[in-house]
Amino acid sequence: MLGYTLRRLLLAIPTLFGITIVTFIVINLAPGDPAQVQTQGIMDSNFSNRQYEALRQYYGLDQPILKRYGQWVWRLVRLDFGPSMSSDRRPVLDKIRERLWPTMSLAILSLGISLAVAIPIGIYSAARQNRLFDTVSSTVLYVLYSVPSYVMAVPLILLVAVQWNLLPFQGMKSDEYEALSALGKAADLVKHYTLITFCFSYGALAYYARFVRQNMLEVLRQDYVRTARAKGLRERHVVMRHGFRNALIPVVTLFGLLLPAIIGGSVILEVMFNWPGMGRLFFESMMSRDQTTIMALTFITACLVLLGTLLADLSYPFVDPRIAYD
Amino acid sequence: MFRSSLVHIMLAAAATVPLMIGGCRRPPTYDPAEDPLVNPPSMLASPPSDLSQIATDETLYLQLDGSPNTLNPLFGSSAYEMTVQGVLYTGPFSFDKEMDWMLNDEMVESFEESECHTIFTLKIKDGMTWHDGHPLTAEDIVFSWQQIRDPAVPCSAQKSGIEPVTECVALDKLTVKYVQPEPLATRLWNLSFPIIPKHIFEKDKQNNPDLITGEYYVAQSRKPVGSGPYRFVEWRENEQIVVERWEDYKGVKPYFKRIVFRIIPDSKMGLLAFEKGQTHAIEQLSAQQFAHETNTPTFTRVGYKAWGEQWTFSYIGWNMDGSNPFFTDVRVRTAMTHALDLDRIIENVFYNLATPCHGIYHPSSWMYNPAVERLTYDPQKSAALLDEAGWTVDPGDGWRYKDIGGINVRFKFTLLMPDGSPTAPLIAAMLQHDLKKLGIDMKTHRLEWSTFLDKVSKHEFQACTAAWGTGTDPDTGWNLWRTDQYKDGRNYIGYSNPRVDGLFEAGRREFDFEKRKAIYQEIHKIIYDEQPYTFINNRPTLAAIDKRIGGVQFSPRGIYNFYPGFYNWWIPAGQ
Repeated sequence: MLGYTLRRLLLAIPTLFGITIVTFIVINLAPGDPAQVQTQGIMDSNFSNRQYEALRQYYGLDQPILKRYGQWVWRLVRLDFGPSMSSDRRPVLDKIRERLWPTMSLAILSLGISLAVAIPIGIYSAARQNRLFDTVSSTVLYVLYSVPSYVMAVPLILLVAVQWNLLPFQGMKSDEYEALSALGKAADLVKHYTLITFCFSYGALAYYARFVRQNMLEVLRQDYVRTARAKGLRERHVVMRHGFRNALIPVVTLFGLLLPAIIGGSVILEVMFNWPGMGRLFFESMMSRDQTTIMALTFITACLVLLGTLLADLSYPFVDPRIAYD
Repeated sequence: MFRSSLVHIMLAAAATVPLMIGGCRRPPTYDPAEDPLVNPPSMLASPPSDLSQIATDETLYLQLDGSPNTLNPLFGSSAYEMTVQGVLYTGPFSFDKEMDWMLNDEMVESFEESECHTIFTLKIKDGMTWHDGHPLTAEDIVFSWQQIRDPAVPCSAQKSGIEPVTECVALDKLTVKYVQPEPLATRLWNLSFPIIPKHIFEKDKQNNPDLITGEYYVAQSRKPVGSGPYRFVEWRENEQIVVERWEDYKGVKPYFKRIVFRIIPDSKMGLLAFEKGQTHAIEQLSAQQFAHETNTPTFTRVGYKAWGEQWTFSYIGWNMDGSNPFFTDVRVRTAMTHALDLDRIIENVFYNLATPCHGIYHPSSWMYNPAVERLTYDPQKSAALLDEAGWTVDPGDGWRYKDIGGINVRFKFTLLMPDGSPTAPLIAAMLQHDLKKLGIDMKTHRLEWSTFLDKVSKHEFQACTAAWGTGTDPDTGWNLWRTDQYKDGRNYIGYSNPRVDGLFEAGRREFDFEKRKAIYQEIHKIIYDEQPYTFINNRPTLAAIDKRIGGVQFSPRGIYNFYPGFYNWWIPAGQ
């Protein structure tokens, strides 16, 4: 197990290297650079190319690409992502750190909620295939899955936040947050999280529920399930112990792929709800061609993808004893 | 499933925009003059001189549509950054709602200009301080000038303005001497630059000569010590920036005690936040919102609408540098303008809120030439001009062709547009339709903003559509229209006319106002006649303002960035 993990980790190094070099080249091949966005971004006429060139020099963009990549790697080795290529010049890590929690908390929350709801629904509707609950839940889930979250967000905000005035719809905290008691703060946070968490969760929920149901159905058709039933086990026992445990294997694979989504966030929802998250940071850095921030975000995401798949692989033996690494 | 891929998200977003536009039924014609919410007298009422009638303890909530990167005025590059920086810092010079240069009486004791227009002596008032109590002196002005000149400081937006000022020295604690060796008509504008506190910014200069990198400067740019009527209180990242009236300010104090700049990036949510009373003003609504989404009970309860006209104009630029066979010919460019059904665009895209553009200078500016007659929609004239230019219709397929060096070239080109503009695709679609009837095949290509900038600045386009914000002096047109600015500046389309080059040169050196006016009027006429751009419309100011607020003024740049801007806004006491 340990040997396997080490081997996988070592293998990750060239993979990461490849990912970063490709990203670096792609960013640099894309038209436009941060100096251009900053000097010509405003459609005001007070500008000359000399200033553009000077700013390019300031950001080091006039250096050959390989040299710049080398510098980037050298900094990375010392765990330094460098300063942002925008007019604030803040260390990229500070910028990311600030945005990490809003996105992570949201993702973990919505992941937890959607799995907690989806798994029972999936199991129950598989166990009662084609009965009323299955048909109704399938229809509802299918509808939910088909409505993109940003389409759902608008009527939801209009109804709940504007018409009924029940919940806030902008940002993470109220203006008077700092003055609130601990309990008040918690209540304030819950209010702000509710709508956006719902929008974040329901699509995933629908997907997982369908996914679990599908896997359960396949498992329930297996011979060993028939055997279990034949030897007189209670149906509950058959479904949970023999069915569900085996249906869990593909769910674990899915789980591994979710880590990057956690950090990626959702640009549109974050903009709509004015949520200060990672998705927005990524989008804003793309728009302003903030190369150091884009590289840092890509690197972190790549690490998470690799970590996620590794964790998924490592957890297979726990759900399926036939799998073992030595 | 989480939509983790950015590409997907962007595709999805791109797909919804046309859907939303296409999905709407055509609303009834809108006439802003009939709308009771537009420019009511109470909104425009000047503040009374008796302060007791004004609520001076109120907080003004303003929407910012993006999160500022920095509050250091040297490095601001977006309009919303400048709005916040503007209230925190003050300087000796400013400009008013007519875009005329003015002395800031609150700071200036005296200002003199030598007869040869090259030496300027400024004396600032005694007793001025920075928000931390440190005295504001001539040294601060000189230091700021030195820093902007310093090649190590990457404040590109400020550099070109002060280039002609070759010397700036402190004669004593309060007196500054500026020298511009060349006498220029733009001399006064060249003296306007942000003033930053020397005692704060000289501290870490030896470690970080750019005044921006490093822990110290990053902290300074997020917790600025200014000199303006408001001082910095708090910045909650991505949420809001709070400033408070500085009671020790020596000049006229604004009426609002506090300003909270709320950062709301999404315009739909911005409108909802306004309707819920979370903001008191939205600087710019879309035409669609202004005409059709604000006559709701929720909006009417809290807000009025401010409608004005800006000097900013939108255009379609025809690349005439010879890289395509179409637009070097003035007849073709004129034919394009005649093919644009501007009246229909104003009615259907701008809901009668915008006015047609009459060339590079706005009709209300002194540079405008009233002799210019606007070209109107006239497909027949357009067809005749195209025939005359040699682009004739092939009866076989209906497209226009021209024989160029033995090759039969079809009239087919691509219009580039930036993706941020909601109106550009609609205008392009109308033009496309009209051009097709004329036998011209126009494709459109929407590009993300920085890609668009890259393409146009490298002249890699046939036609592009964008807008120009107005400069404070007509001389700022220098880098749009002079031949040498094809390489150095923003003459993206390759316009070249020696007469115009000469006129810009002359305008820069003319001190007699009437003569100077004649020069720019001539430029206006020549450029309009040559139609390097098809001028579309003047951008309207479309703001939402809380009902209680009075004193709103309009400038050619909108309602915020001029003096006094929102310092003039007030709420009657007891409301």
